[in-house]
Formats: sequence, structure tokens, C-alpha cells
Amino acid sequence: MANVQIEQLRFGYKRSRPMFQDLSLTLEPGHVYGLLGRNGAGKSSLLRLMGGLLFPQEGYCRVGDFRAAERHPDFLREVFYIPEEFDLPHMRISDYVRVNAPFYPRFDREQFERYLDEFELVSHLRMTELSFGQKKKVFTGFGLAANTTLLLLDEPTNGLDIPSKTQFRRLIAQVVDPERVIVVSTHQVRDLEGLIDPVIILENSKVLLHEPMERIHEKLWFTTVPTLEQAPAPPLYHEPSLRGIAAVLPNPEGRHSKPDLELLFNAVLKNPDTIAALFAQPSLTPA
Amino acid sequence: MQFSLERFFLLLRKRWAESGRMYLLGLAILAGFWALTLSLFILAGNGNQNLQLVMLIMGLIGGGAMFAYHQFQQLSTTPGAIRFLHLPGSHLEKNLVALLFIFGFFLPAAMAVFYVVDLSLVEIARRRWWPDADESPLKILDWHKTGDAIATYGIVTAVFALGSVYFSRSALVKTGAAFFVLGMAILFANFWLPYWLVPHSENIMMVSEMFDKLELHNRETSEVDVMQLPESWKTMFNVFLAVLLPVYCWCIAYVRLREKQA
Repeated sequence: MANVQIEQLRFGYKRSRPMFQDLSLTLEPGHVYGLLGRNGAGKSSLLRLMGGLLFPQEGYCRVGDFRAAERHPDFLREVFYIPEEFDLPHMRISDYVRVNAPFYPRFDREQFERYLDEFELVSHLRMTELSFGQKKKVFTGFGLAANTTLLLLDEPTNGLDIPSKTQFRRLIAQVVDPERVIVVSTHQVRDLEGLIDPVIILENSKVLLHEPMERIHEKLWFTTVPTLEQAPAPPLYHEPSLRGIAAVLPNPEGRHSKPDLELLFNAVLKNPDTIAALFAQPSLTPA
Repeated sequence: MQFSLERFFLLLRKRWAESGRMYLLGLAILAGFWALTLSLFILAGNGNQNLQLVMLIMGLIGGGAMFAYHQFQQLSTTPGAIRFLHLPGSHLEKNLVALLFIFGFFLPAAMAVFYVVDLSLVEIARRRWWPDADESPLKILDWHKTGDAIATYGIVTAVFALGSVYFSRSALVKTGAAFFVLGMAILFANFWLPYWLVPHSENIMMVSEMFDKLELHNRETSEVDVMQLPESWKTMFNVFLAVLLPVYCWCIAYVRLREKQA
């Protein structure tokens, strides 16, 4: 399997109210895509369209050679979807692995055991003995160890405590692979900072931004200024912070800054047209 | 349609690992139901084979409906539906797993449980209360005796399997209600339509045998007119009910499963 290709997709839970219209998107292997958007923006729906759980009304979503909506078994064994809410059978972790792992040809038991160790879980535990967060760790660990070429994660850090969020980021970073597409949908952007690249921002059925971090570095300057008057240019977005005013500015001089995903998200929602125009300009440096 | 024997066995193994214990518990409950009801009838001095057959049919209808519903129960919640639909297996394989559990596991297991319960209770009754009676346990392998029970099981399980795939929420209740309403409508039509179509008077009393014949008893002359379908029609009707209707329901369930979204 290779990339995920969405072409002129139309989808809505009611035909009269489309959630996506003429949506086109291509996701390449070797990246962790961050799908950001407000509640109800369609992040989960887009993930389910990629996973073949929802069907487009028009257009298509292809993953490699397969149309996702056909749910061909060879497609399903190369896709693992970890939804925000999930359902696990009442059995031991080891039994769960024994009966589910054979469906995934590249499932690695040692890798899964390592994840369990990392999450301080043991495989003889029953699912009924686990908290929601622990079940999420088991399911996420299983999904990562399945080594599918498409991994879809919907709000993966919801229900995880702070140390587990760090562990999660580390594990995702470990499984990035040139053959693999990872898509993470979240509205808790800070949990995934430093992990996702490229960033896709959805709003009102549209993709407002779909750019790699390198281009975001190049086009935007994330800085803190003492007062708005001292900002070198009118900010695209600003908000008060402990050290002054955190602002996102255009970056015509190519200054280096560490992108703040939350500021980026708010800036894109506030000034979608200005930001689209900025990113439409060619890069200063060759990619 | 994709089918792989290897995946099919993996799906079977997974289903058994996840639900086997519950299925055995269900059979134990069914055994309890049969033990209780048959004991009550025996204690009341009424344990003939017709009554045993009725209890077998009731148990198979109730147990079969629950068992068939459980095959696709996961589809009634979004997380469950995601787990079911995203499992790497074709829709055909998932449907066949349900079919195999319904006909290859539950039916023979339930019949065996009934036989053991029935044999034990009838034997106890013969020793204690009916030393001279010729009551005997129901011969479950005699098709003429249990064919109706198996056919009814086939229809009920097909309808409930379809219902659990078709309805997104409260599938068991909705299917049960639809089955009841449809059943009552058919019974009503079966009884009253011929009655309205045939000229009759107040002296005529009607006696109906389900889907078979209608007897019109004339109270004054004691004459009995019998209306019934020709034998070939009856055979066709039975084949339709016992074979074509369940096959049709399973085909629709397969199509609906392919269309299912979560």
C-alpha cells in the first residue's frame, strides 16, 4: 500500500447538509499527519472515511490500490483505526492478542510486550480490571505493534495521564516509517507538539491549511512581544501570555522560531484567507 | 465476494474466544427453562410428546432469537460496529461465521441439551408416577417430529440476524416487535381472508389449521367443507417458509452488512 488519496469527496450525514464538499487531499507515507480542527469540524469523519467505515456520497478515498469503502480484507489488514471511544472484549490481554494478532501479518509480539512494559501493564490482566486509560494504552500498543501501513488515531491522548502522554509521543516517534502513513486527529494540539508534520487544519468542511512544518517555519514567525505596538508587523493572531503577547506574524525575512500549534491553529481560524495567500506564495528556499 | 479459509477459521476462533463462555451459559439457561417447564407439565400429569415438541419449539425460538441477535450485536453501538467492520475479514466470511454458529453450534447443542433434559425427566416420571404409561421422550432425530421445530428455528434466527444487522439501535426489540406484528398479520390473513372470500352464514363455524386447511362446519347439517391448498402448493409454501425465506433474509443481511457504516 502507498499513499492515501482523497479526490473530490463529498460526504455528509444528511445529504442536504454536506460535511465535506469537493475535498481533495493526498497523504504520503513517512509522515505523521496532524489533523486539527474544532469539535464537529469533521476530523473523526475524515478518519473513518479513510478507514472505510463511512462511505463518500461522491468522489472517493483510496488507500494504495484499494477503495476504502469496499473494506477489502487485504485493505483492512493494512489499516488500524484507534477511535476515541472503543470497545474491547472481556478477556485477558494475552488472549486478545492471541486471537486478534493473526489478522495483521506484520504484528510483532515482542514490540507489543515492550509497549506493555512501558505502560506498566502485564499481559495476564483482564480487560475488566483495567481503567479506560489503561485499556487505551493496550489498544494503542496493539495498533502500533500491528505495523499496518496506515495508522489512524482519533484523539489518542484523551483519557491518558500526563506521563502517558509523554510515553505516547515517544512511541509514535518510534514507529514512524518511510512506508507508513500515520494520521492523528486531535483538538488537544499541545499534546502532539513536536510530533506531527505536516499539519492539516479543518474548518467548516474545508481544509484551511495542509502544510509541512518546514513551510510553516518559513512562512510564519511565532514570537512574544511586550506590547502590540512593538510588534514588527501587524500580527495575524495574538493572545496574552505570561511573558507579554504571544503573536503569529508573517515571516518575510525567514526568521527562525518554534511553531506553537495552538497559536497556529487560532491564527488559521482567525485569518484563513490571509494565511492561505501567504502559503500560496512560492518558497524562498528550495524544498 | 472474497473468501479465505484461513481468515474464516481465525474469525471462528476469535468469536469462540470472545463469546464461547456466554454461549455455554446461554445453553445452561435454556436447559434450566426446559427442566422447569417440562417438570411442571409432568407434575401436572401432562407430558405427552406434543407438549414436549411445543416446549422444544419455544426454547428454540427464544434461544435462537437471542443467539442470532448476538451474532451481530456489536453493530448496535458505534465502537462495537467499528471493531466488527474493521476486523480484517470479508463481509461474506463474517456472515458465514454467524451462520455456522447458529446452525453448526447452537442448534445441535440446544437439541442435545433438550434431549438430555427430556430423557432424564421422562425417565424419572416413568419410574415414579407413570409406571404403566407409554410416554416416551421426544425423538429429536426423527425429522417428522422435529422438522417443524428446526424449520421454525431457521426462520426465527434468519429474521433476528437480519434485524440485528438492519436496525442500528435497539435491534432486538425492534426485530421482535416487527416479527410479532408481521406474524399476527399473517395469522390474521390466514384465518380471515378465506373466511371472507367464501360465502358463509351464521350457521357456519370455521376451524383453521395453520397454513394448511380451513374447515367450515355447518351447525345445522353437521356437514364439513374443507378448503385446502393442493399438495404441490403446500409443498411450495413449506419450501418457501423453511428454505427460501431464511436464505432471502441471510442474503439481505449480507448486503446490509456491506452497506453498514460506523
